[in-house]
Amino acid sequence: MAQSTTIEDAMFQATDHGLLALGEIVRETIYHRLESTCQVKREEIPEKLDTFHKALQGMLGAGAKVIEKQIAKNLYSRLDLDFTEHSNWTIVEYFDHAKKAKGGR
Amino acid sequence: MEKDEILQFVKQMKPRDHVIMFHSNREDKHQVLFTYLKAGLDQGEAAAYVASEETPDEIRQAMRRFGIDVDGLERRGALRVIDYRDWYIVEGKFSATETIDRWKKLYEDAVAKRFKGLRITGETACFFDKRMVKELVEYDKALHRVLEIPMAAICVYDSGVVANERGGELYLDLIKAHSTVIIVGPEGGVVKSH
Repeated sequence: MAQSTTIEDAMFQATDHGLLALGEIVRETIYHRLESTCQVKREEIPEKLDTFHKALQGMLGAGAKVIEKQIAKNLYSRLDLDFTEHSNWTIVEYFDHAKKAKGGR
Repeated sequence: MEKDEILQFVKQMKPRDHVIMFHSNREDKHQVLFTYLKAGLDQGEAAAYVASEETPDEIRQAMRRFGIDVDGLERRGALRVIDYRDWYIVEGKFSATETIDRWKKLYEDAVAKRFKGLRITGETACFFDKRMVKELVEYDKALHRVLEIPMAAICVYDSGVVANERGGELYLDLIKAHSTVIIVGPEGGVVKSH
């Protein structure tokens, strides 16, 4: 998989890919809902991850955990990091960990 | 998608529509399923609810609170609230073929009684409780294939249970395998539909 230029780029792409597990229509619905109710555009997700996480939980309930794991796995793959599952982590913790592992780049 | 849109969606379901629904709490589950069943009952269809996450009596009570005339509808044969032990896992055993035959017979009975159609829903909690998830997935696929029975169906899954099954893989597999999926979260929801 091609190396992204920044961790934020990788996060954005991983989110786009991870949400696709729900199908294109649902992915677009989630983006639309994020923008209309949380004022977060899709490209702003990496900098507003906590809002994204809460919105996803509101829409999917426990399913959010499954999708966030998909996103995190994809992110780690893009960054050439080994993925280890942590049952109590959200996408926010996975992203913080990835940033630290890559030296805060 | 807001919950109102989900409610509108289920009201308009048609014969042969096979939908799976993930829910996050009982209140939302009741609201969506009872809206779906009541819409059918109001237009002269029959309805059936197979209970396993709650008892049939708990479902009946919740239906009454929702405004469904459970006693009158059951007396007229329009509504059946069924214990999973009489439908899915009978005497400790599950047979997809026998279950599908029960649905066929129920549909034929409804037509014979001059109902305009049949809306069904079934809770799947018993399959997780009894560790019969593999059987459930096979049944779900078989039911999907045999929905030449012109009835509408919603199979009901608890998000919290499914998300923990096989590290979340079951959740993803079920979404991939179905063209129509309703996910009801605590603050809204989404519908995957083609």
